[in-house]
Amino acid sequence: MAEKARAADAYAVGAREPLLSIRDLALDIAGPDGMRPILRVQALDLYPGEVLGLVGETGSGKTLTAMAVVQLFPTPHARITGGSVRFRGRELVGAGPRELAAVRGRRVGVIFQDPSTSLNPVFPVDEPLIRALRIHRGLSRAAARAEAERLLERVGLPGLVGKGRYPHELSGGQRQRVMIALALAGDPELLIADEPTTALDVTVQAQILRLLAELQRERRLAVIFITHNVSLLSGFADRVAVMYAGDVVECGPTAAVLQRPQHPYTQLLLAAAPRLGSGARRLAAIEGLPPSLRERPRGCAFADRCPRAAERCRVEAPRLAPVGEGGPAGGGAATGDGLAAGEGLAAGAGHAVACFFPGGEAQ
Amino acid sequence: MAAYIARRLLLGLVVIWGLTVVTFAIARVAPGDPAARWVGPHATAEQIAQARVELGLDKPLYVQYARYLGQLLHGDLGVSIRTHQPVAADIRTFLPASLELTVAGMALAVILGIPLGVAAAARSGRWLDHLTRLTSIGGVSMPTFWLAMILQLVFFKQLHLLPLSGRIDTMTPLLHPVQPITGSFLLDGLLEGNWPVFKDALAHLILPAVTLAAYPLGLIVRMLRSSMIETLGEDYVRAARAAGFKERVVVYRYALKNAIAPTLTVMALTFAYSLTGTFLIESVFDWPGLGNYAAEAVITNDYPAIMGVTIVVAVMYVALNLLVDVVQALLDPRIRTGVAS
Repeated sequence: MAEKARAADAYAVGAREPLLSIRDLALDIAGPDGMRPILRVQALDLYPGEVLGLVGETGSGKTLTAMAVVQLFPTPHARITGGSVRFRGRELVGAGPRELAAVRGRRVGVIFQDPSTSLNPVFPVDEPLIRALRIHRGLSRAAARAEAERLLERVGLPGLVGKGRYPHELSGGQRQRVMIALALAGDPELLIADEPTTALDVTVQAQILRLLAELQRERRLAVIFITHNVSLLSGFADRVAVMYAGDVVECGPTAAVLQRPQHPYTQLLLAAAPRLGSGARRLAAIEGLPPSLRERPRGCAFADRCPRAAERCRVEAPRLAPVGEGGPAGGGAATGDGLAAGEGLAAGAGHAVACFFPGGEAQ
Repeated sequence: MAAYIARRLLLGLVVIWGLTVVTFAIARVAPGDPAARWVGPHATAEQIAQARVELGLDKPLYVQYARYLGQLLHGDLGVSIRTHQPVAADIRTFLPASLELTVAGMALAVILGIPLGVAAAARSGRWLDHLTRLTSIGGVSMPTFWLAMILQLVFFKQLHLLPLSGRIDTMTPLLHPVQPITGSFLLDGLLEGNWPVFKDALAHLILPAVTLAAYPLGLIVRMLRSSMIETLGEDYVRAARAAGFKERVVVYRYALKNAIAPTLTVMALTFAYSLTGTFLIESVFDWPGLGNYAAEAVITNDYPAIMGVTIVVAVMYVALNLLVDVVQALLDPRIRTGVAS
């Protein structure tokens, strides 16, 4: 029930201005043989208070796409080379250190994948939290300590302030709770959660997910939830965006994408997710490998692994377009050239897919 | 923490003891007869034999060593064969000058080296990085005496800004008498408010200190740069940036505290080394330090002096390392509690 209500919410906010809007984002990584194109994200939108699940296999560009908002990439060699990332109406591509500083921690909180490497080993865990509360909320030292205590209590770690406790004295789950508190210290509107449970025990994973869901509702947070585990999405995400080889290939309301996947990659990805009691003796897998980043294919990046690929898929790259209603279904000529760059109706909140031959069942 | 310090202290004592054994053995195996030197070049065979008995050199080695160790525990470093003075007194004469020079040089190296190393790492690959790379490689590879002479040429001969050599002008302590408190003209002048002595001592100290600083400065910059570059790539640095902390805070507070450890070790090592390793600097600047004394002792086979200097330096080395261990434990809680990092 609650799930349906929230899905409806997501449609409702679709009419509003997006909080975050990514268009034709190009990101390259400098390598020994020059700049290699890594991301070519056509379109991705996020509305206030909405949870967006960003899924795809390792290396598909989920993290880089989300981190483009704060421009903090896991590698110093990553460069945004084009496109637009608008947050609260402000363009962040080409923004100076000042504008980015106004976003980081204050408007956008980040939770990283591995809490054991994300906490500074030589500082007590409450130290950065108190600092963040002081600089982002202008609190006095005493007030910041009190607020840190409240915040840590809310994430399930009472009595931790002023105890001089260091990260190595905490468990993995406790560390991730500290990271969540730190991400929320500036009272952000957007939370980027980069596989926040991947490095944790399964039992702890569920606790952390529940905590994130509670905090999201309490604070009406917009969340980008990055995961390669599709099964985590159905209870939590309002919408899902599926990434493949550096681009969004399908996005839409969670129920629509998970139950009526249109892109052959999404279909295979969902089929590959192991399910209890499915009776399958072997785990399903997608044949082949993602394309080499050095030689990006001219056409659809998935064509080589796609059971439905036709001649057109190898010469022309499909653009994201709405499913149904005059969309690309049936391979209509309206695709691609029909959409002005940067004006993807596709993004929005509806179900969209980047494929010339969407729908049907994957073989 | 107390147990940790006690363990380190014990280890240091073992090192010093081991050192007395090694230096004792080396001094006895080295060629040259200490007894002959003790009585001078024109002594008869009987006089030499008598000196040998006087010095205890006729006793078995382990008896000689035990006697030496017993004296050592009473602060007696023996009598120098060359100067016929107690070694302890000799060292008391030369050590303050060495300490003065080494502390000044190391302070210079640390004060300049830490910000330069950090800045080079934060701007790695840009012009500041290349500039510090050139200067630090220069500092490390340039022959000390050559740098010393260049400095003398420029600041004494050309610019007439600084004195050529020595610790102080001969006239200054005569005109402005100074009571030896620490043995360092600089400190004594400061403590007694004797400004002419202080200023003159400072002027004399600048060139040798700069010369001495060149090598540790280059080392500190290179070490710190590489450990900072590694640290700046850590997840917690990215997390600190994501939390919206100022770049200065991220670099100097969150990253530096993690990256400084190897540099601290190098600092302690070069400090101890500089106490006697500055022989060339002491020669060029006519600085009456421990390096000259040690070199003379080695040349003349003055084994009590060699052992005395070795032990004093070893004690300082152990003390400095203990200090570094304590500082590192204060910086990193994982060392305090014995958790492997």
